[in-house]
Amino acid sequence: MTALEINGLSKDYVDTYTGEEITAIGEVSFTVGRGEFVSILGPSGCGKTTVLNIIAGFVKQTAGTVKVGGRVVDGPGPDRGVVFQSHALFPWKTVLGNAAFGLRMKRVPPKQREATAREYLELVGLGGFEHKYPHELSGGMQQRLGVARVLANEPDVMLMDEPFASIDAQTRRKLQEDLTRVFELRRPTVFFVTHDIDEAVFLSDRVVVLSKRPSIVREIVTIDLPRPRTWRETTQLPEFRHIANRITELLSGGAEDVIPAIDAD
Amino acid sequence: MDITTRAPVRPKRVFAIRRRLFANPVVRVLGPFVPVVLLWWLLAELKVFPGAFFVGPDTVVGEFVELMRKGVLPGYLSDSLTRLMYGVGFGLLIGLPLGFAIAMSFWARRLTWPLLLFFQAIADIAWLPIVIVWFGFSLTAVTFVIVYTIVFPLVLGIVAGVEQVPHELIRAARSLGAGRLRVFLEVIVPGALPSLASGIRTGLGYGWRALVAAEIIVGTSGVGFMMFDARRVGDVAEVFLGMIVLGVLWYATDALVLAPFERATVERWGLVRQAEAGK
Repeated sequence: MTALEINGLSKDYVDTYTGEEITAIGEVSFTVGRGEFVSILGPSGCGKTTVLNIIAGFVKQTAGTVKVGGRVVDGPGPDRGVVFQSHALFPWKTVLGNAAFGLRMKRVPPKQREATAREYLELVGLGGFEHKYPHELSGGMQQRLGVARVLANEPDVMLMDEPFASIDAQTRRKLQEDLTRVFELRRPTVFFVTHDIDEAVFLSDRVVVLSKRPSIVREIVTIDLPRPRTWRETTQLPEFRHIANRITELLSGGAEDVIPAIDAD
Repeated sequence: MDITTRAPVRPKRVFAIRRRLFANPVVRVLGPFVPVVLLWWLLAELKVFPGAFFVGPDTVVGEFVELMRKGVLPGYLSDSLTRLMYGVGFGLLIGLPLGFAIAMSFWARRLTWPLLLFFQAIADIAWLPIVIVWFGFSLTAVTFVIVYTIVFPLVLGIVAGVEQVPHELIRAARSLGAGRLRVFLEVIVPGALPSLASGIRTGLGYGWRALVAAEIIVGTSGVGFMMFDARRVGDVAEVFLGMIVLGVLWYATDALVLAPFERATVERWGLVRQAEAGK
């Protein structure tokens, strides 16, 4: 079952200073299966985030289609929940209010939406924080809430835009592990944008590797590592290093901004 | 260990006393006025200025008691406050929808912005001559001027506030299933609130000043009228009293209405309290 189908996506834009036309995305096609975790990696400025913004419906593509569950989508919708790098939580709503926001928009009755929201808060490790406000949480906890807010809405696909990029390294490891745990437990469909090769390999079932601008899909790498995954064990597997090194090679050449895998040889 | 911990005990206790003193709301509010009143009293007692021009606190207090007893001050006060309430009420009624309409629509902003800047430049009191021609020496004339002064800072505050709402919050709401109206009510209005609150604060401050000015010119009653009338008969104590009443009322409005509103919203949500900057 295909949850997300991207076909011949391209994006041109006009640089507002120079007035020249720039092709950000040349031609990108890939699919994400139901319950699959797919990451997209590419050199800086290759338009990974633009791909996500087009899928989310925030930005209009120049050509190509985005299908969710077989339907062509146009504009943002609750079938595609987004976890933002900046968290984008509602400061005036409590943790519970944030987590229940999507359900409220769907007019789910209060009792039921509170129960669902609490369940997902518990799942991401925010049980007991229901009545706090976002600014009272640490960056890592805020992003847990960002994930719970989307998952509670049960979208067809969860879009994650470098969600851990602004979080310190130690917390990031923990968040990556917890995201894996939640994914293995619930099997949501996830599309994940990152520039961190280890992160992509650790989390994903498949990784879409883009070329530099105008970007095309260079290769789609299948990550056949066993689940459940933990940072300590999974990253020690020879296959992990092997795949990470291969992706590093794919990206090398104009990929200064990608965090290379450790031990790349 | 013992020695090192004992040394800072005394300053710590001093800090604690000071902290407890300032924790007391009465001390916190009235404390700063003590030296001002003392200086005032001293200036009056030493007869630095002639008594006919400068009266001491005791005289003003006497005047206050007298005017309260005669019912003049309560009457004028309630006249002033009624006018202010009308002005603020209509000001909010016009300013809030107008502000959001201009902020939300690109074309509305394009079309009205030059007008806003033009009319904002005409000082509120500059309207009085024509307003008196139109409405006479009436409540309508005073209300008009107050509404006029409140609407502009409010509209400008709302436009600035709406622009400050992070784009990602709107995107987040849309991708959680919120339609245009929901985005407006759930994201844009609360997001614009810090700036809106500071617009109300500024507008109310201007409105209050405009009221006094209007009462001086148009007045047949009210605190502004009282002060100007007292000047005519040379009652300096009454002029002083009027000034103090104005200060106290503004302080009360701030402490009882504006500050609690901001504490319950902007501060609780951890948003930057932009209102503070406007103070």
